[in-house]
Amino acid sequence: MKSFDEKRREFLQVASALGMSAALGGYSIQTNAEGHRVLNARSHLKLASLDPGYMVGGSEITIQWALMPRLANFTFEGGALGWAPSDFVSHLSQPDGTHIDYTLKPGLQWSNGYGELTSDDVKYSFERMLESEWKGDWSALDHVEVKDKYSGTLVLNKAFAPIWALALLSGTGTLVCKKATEEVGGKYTVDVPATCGPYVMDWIPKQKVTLTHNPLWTGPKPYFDKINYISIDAPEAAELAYEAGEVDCTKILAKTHVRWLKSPPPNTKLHVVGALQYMWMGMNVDHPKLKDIRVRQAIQHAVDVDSIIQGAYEGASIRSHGMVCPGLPGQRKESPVDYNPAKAKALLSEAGVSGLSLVLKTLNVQERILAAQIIQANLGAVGITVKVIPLDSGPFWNMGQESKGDEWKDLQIWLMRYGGSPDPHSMAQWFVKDQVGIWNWERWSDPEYEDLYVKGQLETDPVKRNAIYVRMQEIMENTGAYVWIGHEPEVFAHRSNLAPMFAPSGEEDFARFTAT
Amino acid sequence: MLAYLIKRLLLGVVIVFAALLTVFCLLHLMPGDPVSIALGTRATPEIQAQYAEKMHLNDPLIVQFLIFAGQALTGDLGRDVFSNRAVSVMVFEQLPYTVILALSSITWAILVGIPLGCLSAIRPNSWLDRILGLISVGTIAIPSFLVSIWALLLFAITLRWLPVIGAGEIGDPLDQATHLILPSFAVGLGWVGYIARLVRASMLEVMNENYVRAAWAFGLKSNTVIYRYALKVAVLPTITMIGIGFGHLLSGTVFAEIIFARPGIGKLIFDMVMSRNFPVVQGAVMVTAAMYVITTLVADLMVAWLDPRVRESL
Amino acid sequence: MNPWREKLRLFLRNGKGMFGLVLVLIFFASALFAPQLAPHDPFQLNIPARNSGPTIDYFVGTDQLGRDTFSRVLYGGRVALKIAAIGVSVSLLIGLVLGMIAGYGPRWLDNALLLFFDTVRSFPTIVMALAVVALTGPSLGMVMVIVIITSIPGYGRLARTSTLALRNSEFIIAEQSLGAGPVRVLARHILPNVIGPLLILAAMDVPVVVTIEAGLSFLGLGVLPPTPSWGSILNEGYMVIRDTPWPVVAGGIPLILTTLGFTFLGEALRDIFDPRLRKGY
Repeated sequence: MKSFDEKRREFLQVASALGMSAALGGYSIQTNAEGHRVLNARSHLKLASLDPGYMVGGSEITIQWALMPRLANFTFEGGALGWAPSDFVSHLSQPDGTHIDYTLKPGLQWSNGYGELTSDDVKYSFERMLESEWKGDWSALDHVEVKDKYSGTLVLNKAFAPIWALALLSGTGTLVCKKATEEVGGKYTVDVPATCGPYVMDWIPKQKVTLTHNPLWTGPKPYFDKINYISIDAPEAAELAYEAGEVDCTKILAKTHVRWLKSPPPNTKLHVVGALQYMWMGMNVDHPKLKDIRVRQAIQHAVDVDSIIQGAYEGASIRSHGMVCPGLPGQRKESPVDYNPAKAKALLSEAGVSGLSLVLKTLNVQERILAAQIIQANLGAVGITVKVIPLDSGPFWNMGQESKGDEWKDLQIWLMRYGGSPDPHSMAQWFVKDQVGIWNWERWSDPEYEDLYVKGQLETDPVKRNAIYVRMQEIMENTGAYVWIGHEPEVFAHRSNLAPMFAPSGEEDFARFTAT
Repeated sequence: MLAYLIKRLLLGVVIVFAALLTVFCLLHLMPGDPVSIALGTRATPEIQAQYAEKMHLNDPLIVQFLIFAGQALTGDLGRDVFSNRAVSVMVFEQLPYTVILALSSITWAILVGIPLGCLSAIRPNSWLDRILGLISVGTIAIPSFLVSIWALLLFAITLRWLPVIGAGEIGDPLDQATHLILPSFAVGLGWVGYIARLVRASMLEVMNENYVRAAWAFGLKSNTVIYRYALKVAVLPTITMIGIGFGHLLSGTVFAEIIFARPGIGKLIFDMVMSRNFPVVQGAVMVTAAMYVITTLVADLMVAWLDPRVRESL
Repeated sequence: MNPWREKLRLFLRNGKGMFGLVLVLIFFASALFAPQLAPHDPFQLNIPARNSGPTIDYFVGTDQLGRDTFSRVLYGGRVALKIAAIGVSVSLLIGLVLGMIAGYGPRWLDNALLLFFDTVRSFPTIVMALAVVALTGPSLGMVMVIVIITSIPGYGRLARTSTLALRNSEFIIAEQSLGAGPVRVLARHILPNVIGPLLILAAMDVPVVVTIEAGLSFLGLGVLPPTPSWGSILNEGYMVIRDTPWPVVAGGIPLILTTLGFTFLGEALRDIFDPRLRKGY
């Protein structure tokens, strides 16, 4: 077992499971009439793609993990995040900083007659990531060297510790079948051309995905014979379904977390998976209304973040001062920017701005809409009129992207949340100059940031690495384009007798779920 | 009769055609590039190019419309750009759920509403009549989505008598029936009052007609008069109203599907609208229009069949 | 006796009608005087006091941002009033004109307009609203347009029927033989006789219109936050229904009362002034 540095241990302490169970009553995991062990879990994402290079994430990763091969599994040993070889390999090691050796187990069959899982599939799967939408996670990969039918080496172009957390252990580490994928044109959406894993799936669109044992699977058999991964969009509906016994495991909202900490449903455990998300309000520095840095600074001082944490998240979100998540190197614990409406007004008049009106866009999720209204009131108090526009995920995720039309030109201020892997690099990567117009919607750049970005990947001394990332966040805040809000933890509620396995980023690893 | 049927069918076709036209116009009248509007912003440039080519966006508008209409009439409603599934498949997967919900709602509304209306009509202005009248108005006054929310809260959450979400296990009719109870109750409730009042009014009118009074005068028993003459004729406007009101019924099912997280056309349209997936919205709207046309036609035919006066005039 | 006085007397004695009138007056008064009546600013946040039940300060409690639900309900009435006033009057006018043209004009025009009415009437409002919002995004303005368009056929058909009935009456023929053009005939002679039933229909249409807005706002397609409308209050209340049931109750009751009020009023007027309308809808 390999483990990372001290900071990760601290991170996992933050993310430790909270056990809460009432004595008797309530629902528990059952076996069904035929003696099969069935799990009903809730999925919140509409399936769009099961291709690791082109997916959105979330539930799509969960399903891929059930169906497809990968080289490594994440582990929690003694509270530290680590990795271990998966059931698909007989050997996996990292002899030095730039080489990772693997040997696949022989005899693992792809479905639909595509033959064995071989080294060619590994080479194809990872090298294709370099041109996919998720190439950022794989940027350190140079190429995959195939030694023989089952073994090979991943050759990195530089020593890059985060390659595990970002790539091999995450959703982008899924292996696809070279022959089958090439046959369908190099990428696919929801129809996976070939699978090789403990489960196979049956999909009733917009209702549920049913996972059942894969007859071709020769590896260890998972505990659950059948998993109904039920699609419920509205979180409130999902919570109702949990309370009514219709699902046994679901993500819950911050305010429900608070409520259930005090009085949980019977036979329930709450599991804080990890706060790997970072939420902020961004400002487009190129927009004429926001070009003057004093206006942006005024906005930074006008927003009362604590009231957002209370009002929109019931206090269940962790206040943030940067994008690096708690427990990781580089987490910024404080900031000189305070809630100061008087200063905000002074800055505005210094900039000669009055009667400013702005458009605040957000994902139309209840907590964000509440946060937006609080910001609206805050900015109103210093003389800025704000119009709130909630958007659905389709239009929302494209607002700042230059490739998707002209909307990015008019983007003013918006609420945003990204999720990351357990490494600060995964958070920092979206704000470099290259990402302007892709995921750097604030459209700023800074030479010192670029320099530190490179240094951060190579630095091994934890103290120095910490300082690097803290400074990077300082630079970001000094652009005036960021109001840091919080890290929304992902919390799951599940039956007490279920022993789940969640990735730190919140996806379920169903093959490793058991029950007592 | 045949001529009437043909005329009605033609009218139906025209209406569906008009629906197609409206939907088509909506897309092209909006400011901005139709492709980005239709596909929202998740589509990559390749998908956009594909769509533009498929929709023949470089051809004159009339040609585009005719191609679009032609494709639609042969059952090709386009493809969902993200999952590449045929829209017609997606729509027809969800259709049965909505149909079942609509039918069960209207069925229980009829089963309760007609007797209520009857009772009121037999004893007009009595205590019973007044109470039933109040109940009728009361049920009409509460919007169906409110009934859905309150019903969900009371019966599913607080009392735990009925399931909360979904349509039940496929292949398990009993489970599906249990899941149907609350939504159809919520959707049908407003109709109970409506039908009751309609039946009451029609029956009162009929019972004042000369031929009915004549039957009474001739000594036919009260019940016979009521059930064989008055009720039969009074039911007719009800059927017409249901046919016309089918559009409203569909609105009610949309809310119920969203609140109870049931699959169905309403939920499909809502979800696709929220994700700006216009091709699916387009297809679903057209299917809805066709459904409406069929329902009104069936309703009108039933009226024509049952009402001797109408049949004569045809 | 003066027929108007007789009808007024009948109206005053009609219990349902009077009750309806009272409710309608309450609706108008509370909406018009909301700024004076509201104990709090409906936009004022008070995070520490959120999701509370009724207190002396907050009559029906607060919502999840600590805003006074009672004040928001009063202001929500203004949105309802706006939609009702503008929506109903515009659709009535357009329906009136189209209906008169249909009834008075040539056969082909009549058939064309009837087709238009039937097509529009056939669409489930929500479905059309959703399709439009797919393209434009949520907005109160679009809700208004949708409401207007879907209401026009009701007025149109009624105006058409009344016009048809009058078309061949003697005084119209007399006017025509004197050389009066169609516009004059329509405006001076047909319109005054047609408008009555339309106004009654308008009264019964108000609750339909208000409910459509509430429904669309409930789905998040109508007013934008933080504007309160009865539908958006219900939407927000639904989200916190397990924390506090009060917003859902408080948002629902004015809807029900307004519907009842206008329905009773409209029916009483109809029964008294034009029993022929009974058969219609």
